[in-house]
Amino acid sequence: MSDLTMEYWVLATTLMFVVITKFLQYSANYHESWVSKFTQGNTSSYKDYMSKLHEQKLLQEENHSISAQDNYAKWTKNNRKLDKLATELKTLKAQIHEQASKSQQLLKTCKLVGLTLPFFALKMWKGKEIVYYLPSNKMFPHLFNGTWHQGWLFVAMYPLDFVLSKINTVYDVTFIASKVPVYKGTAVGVSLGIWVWALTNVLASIEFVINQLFLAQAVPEPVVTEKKAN
Amino acid sequence: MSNISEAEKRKLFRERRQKKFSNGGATSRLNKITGQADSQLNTESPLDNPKNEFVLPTERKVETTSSHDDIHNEKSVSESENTPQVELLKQLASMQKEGSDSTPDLFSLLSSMQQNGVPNANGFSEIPSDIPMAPLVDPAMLNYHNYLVSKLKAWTILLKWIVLVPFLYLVTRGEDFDHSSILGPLSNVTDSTNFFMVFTAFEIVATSIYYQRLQNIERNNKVNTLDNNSKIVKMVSIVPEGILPIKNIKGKVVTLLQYWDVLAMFISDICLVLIVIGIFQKF
Repeated sequence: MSDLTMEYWVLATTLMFVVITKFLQYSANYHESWVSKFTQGNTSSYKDYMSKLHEQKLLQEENHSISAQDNYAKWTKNNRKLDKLATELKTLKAQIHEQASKSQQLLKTCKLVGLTLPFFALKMWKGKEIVYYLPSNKMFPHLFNGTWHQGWLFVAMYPLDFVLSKINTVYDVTFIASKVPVYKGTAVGVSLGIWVWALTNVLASIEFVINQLFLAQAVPEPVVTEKKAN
Repeated sequence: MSNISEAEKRKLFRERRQKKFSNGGATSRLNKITGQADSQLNTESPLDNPKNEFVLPTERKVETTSSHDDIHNEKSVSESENTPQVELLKQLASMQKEGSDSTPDLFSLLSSMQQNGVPNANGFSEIPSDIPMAPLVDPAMLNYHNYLVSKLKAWTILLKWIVLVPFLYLVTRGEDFDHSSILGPLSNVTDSTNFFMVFTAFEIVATSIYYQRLQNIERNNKVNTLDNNSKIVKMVSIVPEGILPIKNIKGKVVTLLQYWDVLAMFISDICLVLIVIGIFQKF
C-alpha cells in the first residue's frame, strides 16, 4: 500500500492548528494576564492607575507615621487627599476592567477568525482527502472502512444508500443519494477529517493518563469510624 | 351562743365557709369581691375545681425534664411521638446507645432520615416516598473513590495501549519478517484479515476486567460511581415515578450510561489504532 497521499502543506497546516488549539487549551489560565500585559501595559489609564496607587501608598504610610492630634492639619490634608485618590482609583479601576473585558472579547474574536474558522474550512475543503491507506481492506468491517475512507457522511448516508441500492437493483433507477461517492471496497484510506478526530481523541487520552498517573495529587483514604457491635 | 369562746367562733365560721365553698360557692363569692360577674373571661375559682392543683413554674420545669427522661427511658408519650424534634432526638439517643463512643455519624443519620422520610411540622413527610433517593455519601469518601476510579481508568488505558501498539506493529509491518518463524501458531492473530476479530475480543476481555475492578472499588467504598457523579442520573433521580410513561427510568439511564462508557473506551482505542497504523505506515 502507498504511503502518504496528501499534500504535505495540508497535513502541516492541520498539525499546526491542532498544536495551537492544544496550546491555547493548556494555557487558558494565563490568557488574562497575557492580554492585560500586552494591552494595558502601555495605556494611559493603566499608568495613571499605577502612579495614583503609589501615591496612595505613600500618603497612607505618612499618615500612619504621624499623630492625628499632634499634626492635625497635615493629617487632615492627607486624609482628604486619600479620599480623593480612592474615588479616582475606583473610576480608573472600572475603566481598566472595561478595557480588559474588551481585550478578552478581542482575543476570542481573534481565536475564532484565526483558528476555529480556518480549521473548520480546511476540514470542510480537504476533509475527504486520504492521509494514508490501511495495510489491508479487510482490517475493519464495511461500515468502519467506509467511515474511515469517506468521513462521518458515510454513517449518515449508510441506511439511505442501503435502501436505495436495493431499489436500484430491482427497478434500475438512479437516485441523487446514490451519487454520493460511496466506498467501493477497494483500498481503504483514512480521510483527513477522521484522522484529525482520531488525533484529538488520542491526545485527550494521553493527557488524561499523564494527568492521572503522574500529576494528580494522591487522595488519602478517609478514616471511617466503625460502629461497635452490641 | 354566748358561752362560745372567740376561738370556737372562728373555728365554726371557718368550717361553715369551707362547707359553702365545697358546694360551689367560691366562684360567686370571688365574682362578688372582684365585681366581674358579667365578665367574658373565665372567672371560675380554683377552689371549685380541686383537681386543678396550682402548679408553680419551677414545678412545671421539673415536669418537662421528667418527660425528657421518659423519652430516654423509651416510655414514649403518645403526643410526643408525633413531633419531629422528639423523633430526631430519639434517633440520636438510640444511636448513641448503640455504643459509638464518638459523635454519631451524621451522614448515616441523614441517609436513614432520607430513607424513612422526615416528618415536617405539619406531620407530612418532606420527601415523597416514590422518588428514589441515592444514599448520601461522605464527600471525602466520594473524592477518594473518584481518585481510585480515575486511576483505574488511566492504568487500563495505558495497559491496553502497551498491548495494542506491538500488536499493531506486527499487523502493519507483517510482511517485513516471517510471521510463522517468530510467532508460530500465533501468526494467525497478527494476520490483518483477523485484526478486527482479535481487537474486539481483546477489548471485551479488557473491559470486563476493568468493570470487575470497578465493581470491587465500588463495593469496598460503598459508593456508586454513576449515581454520585453523573449529572444526568442526578437529574433523572428527581423525576418521580409515574410522570413519564417509562418504568424505572433511572435504571435504564444508568444502563445506557454504562454502555456509553464502554463504547467511549472502545472508540478511544479505535482512534489509537488509526493513528498508530498511520505512524507505522509512514516510518
